[in-house]
Amino acid sequence: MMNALAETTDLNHNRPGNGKAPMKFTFAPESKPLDGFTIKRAIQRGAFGEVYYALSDAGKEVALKLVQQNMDVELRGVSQCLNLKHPNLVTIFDLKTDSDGDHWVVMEYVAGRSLDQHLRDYPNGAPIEKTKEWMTGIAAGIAYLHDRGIVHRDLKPANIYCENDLIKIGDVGLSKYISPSRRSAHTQSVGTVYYMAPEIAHGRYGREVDVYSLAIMLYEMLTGHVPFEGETTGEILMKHLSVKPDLDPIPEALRPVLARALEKDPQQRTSNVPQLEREFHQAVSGQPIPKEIPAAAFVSRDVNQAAKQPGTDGWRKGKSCFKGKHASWAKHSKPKCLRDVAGNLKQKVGDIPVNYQTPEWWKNKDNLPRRIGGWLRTAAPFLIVAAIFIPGLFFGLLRAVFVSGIFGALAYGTFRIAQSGVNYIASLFSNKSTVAANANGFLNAAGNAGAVATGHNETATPELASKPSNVDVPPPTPKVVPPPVVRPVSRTVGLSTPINRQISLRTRVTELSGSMVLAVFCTLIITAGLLAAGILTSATAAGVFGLTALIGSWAVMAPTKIWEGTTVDPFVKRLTLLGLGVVVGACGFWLDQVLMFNFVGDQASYQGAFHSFGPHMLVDAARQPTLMAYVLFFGCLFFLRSWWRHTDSFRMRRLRVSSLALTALLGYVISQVWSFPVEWAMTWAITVSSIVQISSVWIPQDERSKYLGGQTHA
Amino acid sequence: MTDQANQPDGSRSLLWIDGVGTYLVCTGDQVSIGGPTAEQRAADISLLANLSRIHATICRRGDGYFIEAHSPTKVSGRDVIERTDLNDGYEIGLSDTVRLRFRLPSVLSASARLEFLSVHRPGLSVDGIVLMGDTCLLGPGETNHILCHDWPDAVLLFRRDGQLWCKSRMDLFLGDRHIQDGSPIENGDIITGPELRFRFEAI
Repeated sequence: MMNALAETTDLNHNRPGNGKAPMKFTFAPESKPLDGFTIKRAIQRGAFGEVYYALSDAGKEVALKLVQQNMDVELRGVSQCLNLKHPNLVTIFDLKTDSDGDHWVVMEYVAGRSLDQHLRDYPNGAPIEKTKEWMTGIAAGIAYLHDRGIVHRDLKPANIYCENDLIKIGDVGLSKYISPSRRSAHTQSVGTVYYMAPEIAHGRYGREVDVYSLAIMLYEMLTGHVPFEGETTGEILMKHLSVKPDLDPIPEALRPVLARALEKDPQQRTSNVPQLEREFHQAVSGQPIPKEIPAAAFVSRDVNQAAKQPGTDGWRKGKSCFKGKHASWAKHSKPKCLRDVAGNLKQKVGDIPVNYQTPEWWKNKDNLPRRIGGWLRTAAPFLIVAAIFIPGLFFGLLRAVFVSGIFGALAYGTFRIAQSGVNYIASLFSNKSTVAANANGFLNAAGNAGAVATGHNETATPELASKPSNVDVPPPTPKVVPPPVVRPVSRTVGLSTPINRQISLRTRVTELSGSMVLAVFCTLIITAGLLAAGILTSATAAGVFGLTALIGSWAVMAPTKIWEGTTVDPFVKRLTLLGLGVVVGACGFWLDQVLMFNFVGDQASYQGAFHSFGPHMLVDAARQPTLMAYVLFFGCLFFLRSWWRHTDSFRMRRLRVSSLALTALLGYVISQVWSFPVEWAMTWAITVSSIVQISSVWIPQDERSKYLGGQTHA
Repeated sequence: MTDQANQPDGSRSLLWIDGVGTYLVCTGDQVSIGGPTAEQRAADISLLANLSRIHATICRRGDGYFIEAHSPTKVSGRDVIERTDLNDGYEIGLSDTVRLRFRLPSVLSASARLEFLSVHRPGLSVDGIVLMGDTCLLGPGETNHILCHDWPDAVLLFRRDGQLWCKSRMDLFLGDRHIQDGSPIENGDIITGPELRFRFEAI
């Protein structure tokens, strides 16, 4: 990662419209550092050295690349590529050393424009016909490299040229030879970060990195901008690692293609470049591409379902389904039938080794946390009420909760590890995995056959989960999937499974505005209560406390209402909330200053491990929290809690006391790390959590089904 | 009229521009275009293409240009009979295969640019041809004859007393000498400036 960060030199160099490279070069025109060649002009400064246009004594045009950094790696890479021949690769003629001992790569000179320049012409995306041409050429060159065991690793628009309608991939010298032992050995990062696959941060350079880079370029050709932009290298890398690409600007047919090719996990990603190219062309030409859900996802469900129906002979059922109506295959029955076969196959095999039996208590293990939660819920209201009115008891209790929380978490963690261990061993015994994989392969093959047999243009049902492939292409090799740990589907329509629901904008706005108004009343009541209980000692304190809590609650309710019913990446949610938390913190500080409030904090109020954040003090000379303290506290509070679960209409209960307690605990923990008045930290946390939960719309369990549009939940 | 072409009279030069490309600058009022030939006299612009030795001639008269066809030539898809005027954006077709685009990038200058639309080039990889009147502008922006995206400002080449001069608002150096208010440039001169460098070569 650090190496990746170090590679910042050409961050701006290859951005369309931002291509500034310093034009200072070592060699002047007409100089002859290499015997037999005259440098005529400099072409560019790449990440790995200067490139010149030169003429041989006889007048042959060449590109000369002076190798400056990472010398041995570069040279090893180049020497491996010396004899590659492909029309879509820039040919390397030779590798030479000059009298000063500097190394030069003598390459074919490509006169055409780079893809980078091409993209500059189309700030809103290039025409699809052009994109197809680029795609075909790049894919052919990369497929050739991959077939020779070489990964390019540095695919980017500045490296790819089009000369006389022929696509040429340059900088092949940076490629690395893959052998299993060295697959992860080269830890230094190359490549411009915009096009860099996430696993490069971990020093992994499989062929998948080229698939990823190509997909990023495809995205850029289609939209005119890269999916992950940022101000710094670190920011972009972080996005590669954690943020899902926004596929909205992409034509709909291409979205699944790009989604697969931009998978963070190289194992999940489109496995090779020809496949990506094929899928791209199919999507562009309007051929249906089955929408894919990772194979593991549906298999596990089927195993689960099959297991739930003891006595059904799945295999026979499946067979009859095959024998029966061929015509019905093509339609909706197909995936179901096939999945039944696959699932039942597994069940069949799973039945064979009967030696291993799971103990009864182990099967019920998932009830354990639920029961604990039950006790907690019963006790918690008393604790909280007592705590709010007896401050001393409050902190004593919280400390107890904190300590027991840590031990509890440790114990639970150990429990889960042991559990997955036992599951794994169980799976080894039952030897399900290989057969499961065979079933997958079989399923895929059958899925393809079905598509061939019917050839109709109906869009595949979302459940259909076969790999897209052509008629003449053999089905993808089945991968050995470890048996997934089957977790029971949530017992109610709760929040442990994210539920996709259609919520109209109007509903969202109405509900949100209603909640926000309700939040005002909640805040008033709670603040008045705290004032009456003597926890807030003055009207000023109540003002700062109440207004900040209200702003905080609004800041939580607004985005979470937008996210409700959608599957937004939790990390994105957290980052958004972090930003909002920072704003709320700033507002709090501003109110503190405007209302001229003074924390009457004694020494004990500030117990944090850190009294400063970098150069910023958290406590000022008057023993008041600083802006940074506010921002840190609210930022952490908002970032660390899954606030969207507080506001979802489908949450377990309107007000979950355990959730309040956890939020208060979090407030306490944060104030123990970054110094912030402890009492205020916890009171704010618990108040925001209460307001948010009480004010947000809650739909009782039994009314939920009508909001789901016929979706059924086990 | 074409017999005067291809003399080593300084009417043609190459600009080798770092990071930008190689441009052929023709300063004559008449510039001939033709195919490769083993004979001494090739056209001013000798393309590796299936063309006559002198296939057509582009002439500048005042602020305007016209093309004289000596062999089958089209302008914007229409056959040229003897001669026809050239305007900004016209496509010149020579013998069915070669296609060039005629551009007049700046209304303030009589200089024109020829862009290659087909794959045909001179023996060297030239990125464009400038038919230079009195001035030739190099710089960022579409109104320059030679587009240099990353340059901070433009450089002006102009003719004075039969010689080519160079000046710019930027600090330019000819070798180690600072150029103030322009300086004549000669074969082999290297002009450097902030973020830029090019070499002038008369051919």
